[in-house]
Amino acid sequence: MKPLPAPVLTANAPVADRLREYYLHYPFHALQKALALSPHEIIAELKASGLRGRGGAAYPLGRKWECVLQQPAPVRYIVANGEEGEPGTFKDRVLLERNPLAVIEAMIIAAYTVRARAGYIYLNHSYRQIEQTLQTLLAWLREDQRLGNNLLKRQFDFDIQVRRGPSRYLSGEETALFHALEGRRAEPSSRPPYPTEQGLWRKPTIINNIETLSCVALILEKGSKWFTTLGPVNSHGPKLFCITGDIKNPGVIEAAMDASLRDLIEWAGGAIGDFKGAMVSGPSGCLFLPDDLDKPLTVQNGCGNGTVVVFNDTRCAVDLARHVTDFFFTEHCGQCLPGRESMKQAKSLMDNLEHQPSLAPLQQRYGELHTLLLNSSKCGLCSSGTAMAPALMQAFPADFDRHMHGGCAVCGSAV
Amino acid sequence: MTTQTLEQIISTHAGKPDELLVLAEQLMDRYRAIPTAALALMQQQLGLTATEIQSVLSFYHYPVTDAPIKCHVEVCRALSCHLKSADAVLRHLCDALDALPDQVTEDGQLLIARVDCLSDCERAPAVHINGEYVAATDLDALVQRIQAALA
Ligand SMILES: Cc1cc2nc3c(=O)[nH]c(=O)nc-3n(C[C@H](O)[C@H](O)[C@H](O)COP(=O)(O)O)c2cc1C
Ligand code: SF4
Ligand code: FES
Repeated sequence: MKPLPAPVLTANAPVADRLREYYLHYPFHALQKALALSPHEIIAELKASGLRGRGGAAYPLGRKWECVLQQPAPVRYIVANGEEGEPGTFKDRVLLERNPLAVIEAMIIAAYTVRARAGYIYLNHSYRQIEQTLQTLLAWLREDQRLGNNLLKRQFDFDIQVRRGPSRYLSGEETALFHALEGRRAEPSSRPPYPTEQGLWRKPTIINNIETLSCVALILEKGSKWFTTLGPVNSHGPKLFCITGDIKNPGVIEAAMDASLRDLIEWAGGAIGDFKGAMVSGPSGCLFLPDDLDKPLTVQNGCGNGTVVVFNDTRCAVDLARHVTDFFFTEHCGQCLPGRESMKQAKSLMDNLEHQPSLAPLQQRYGELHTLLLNSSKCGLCSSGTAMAPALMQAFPADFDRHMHGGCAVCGSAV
Repeated sequence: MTTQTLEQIISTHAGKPDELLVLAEQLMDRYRAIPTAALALMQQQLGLTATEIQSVLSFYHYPVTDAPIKCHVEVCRALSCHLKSADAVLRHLCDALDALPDQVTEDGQLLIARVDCLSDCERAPAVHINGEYVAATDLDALVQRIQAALA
């Protein structure tokens, strides 16, 4: 087994029960270094690191910040995305439990870089304890003039508010999240304009995932060179992987994106039963099969947010395809016509699977829906939500045939 | 639940329609539901129409009830929990407690809601009782926890 690299992002134990001590010893090295640089120098350092967003879409962070800096509008916002709604994902929770100040520090650096005056941390509904921890830390930071007016005597004003949202998967989509922060339905907007031009309250906004922001603090502290020594080109830096499903020791593993699925499974104590496949980046991601076990989990190979849900050969692919289809059907908002109609059809195809004469037409129709959504839907939910089922059909036709001709003992269904 | 207390809570958001969700979460923390009596007050204080308020509350599936819910159980049905028999947990709880999923019981005391990921996936199947994670390894013990919360 390959040795597991020493953790940097998750080196701390949870801080809730020793919060004051953690606060008093937090060095703010990254912030000190940033304040000695100009905004353009900070962006150059972040670009040199190659850091890409950890929320799923892997957009280069330096480019996003630069775009906000270039906007003529005087009011800008910084938003930390801690919605963490993808099933199987809990890495942002772990980071906020272990090193919440790294996220706050990165937000202050972002504000200094683009001259934003207000920031929001949007939290998953169930993160009550984290909300309290953050509120306490923010109050201490205000007392110490690390937040608020004339911050650190540097003549810039910045404050952060914490919002724990109601539970809704779609709220993690950036434009939907802005609507939730504005007190509205978390329904996405069309792009362009992009959030960097018109985001929260239609003002230029930096929105980054919690793990991405945690990496920002590390880059400024340790340097972009150090960051690029971890992981391959285009996939630099430490990465958290959440591994669950048919696995002996489910949890968060910190590694780099040169790790393979086999490495992760071994580090997590091995699969329970015989490995059949894994959904990488969760149900909205891509399907890894036994032949993919040694592929590195890079951005190009679909690492996405780093979620890995393993399933063994006792699982029926039809049950998984149905489950995934139902999930996205329940969570889509129905706002745009392609999304609304296609999700209805995708669900109907899966519900009526046993009445299909053969797999080929079903596979073709489901695939067509996915392509249509890729080209015409308003946000990524319905298109990414219709990718996994056709991949399962392609990989495990025998499971589908069983359902169509005779019934499935695993699912307990009979024709 | 006194109207006075409700009024006090809602009035802190007066004139701030963008704080509708902040308010809704505050009410959920306190009453585990949005009290029916809050709706008219929300309209008056936040300056929103009944339709605007209902459209937001229903989008997020907030329960609206006359009295506070004593026990709000959330059972995750999403992928990692699905692979760990979340369906069986839900069935067991509903059967044992004579409840229907996503419906407040007739006495108004209990809501067993199906939710999509509580971000406790490494401890699947995940169940939260009044916002706190409870292990679902022993289903009878889980039922007893809920009964204790209802007592
Ligand atoms: C349906 C949907 C749900 C999403 N949920 C999340 C989420 O929970 N957390 C997150 O950071 N990004 C989520 N994203 C991605 C965000 O839209 C956005 O790309 C991200 O927050 C940008 O931050 P990053 O560049 O640091 O990754 C989601 C996207 C879609 C389409
Ligand atoms: S693609 Fe789906 S989730 Fe996104 S806006 Fe359209 S219907 Fe809503
Ligand atoms: S999938 Fe159930 S808690 Fe995440």
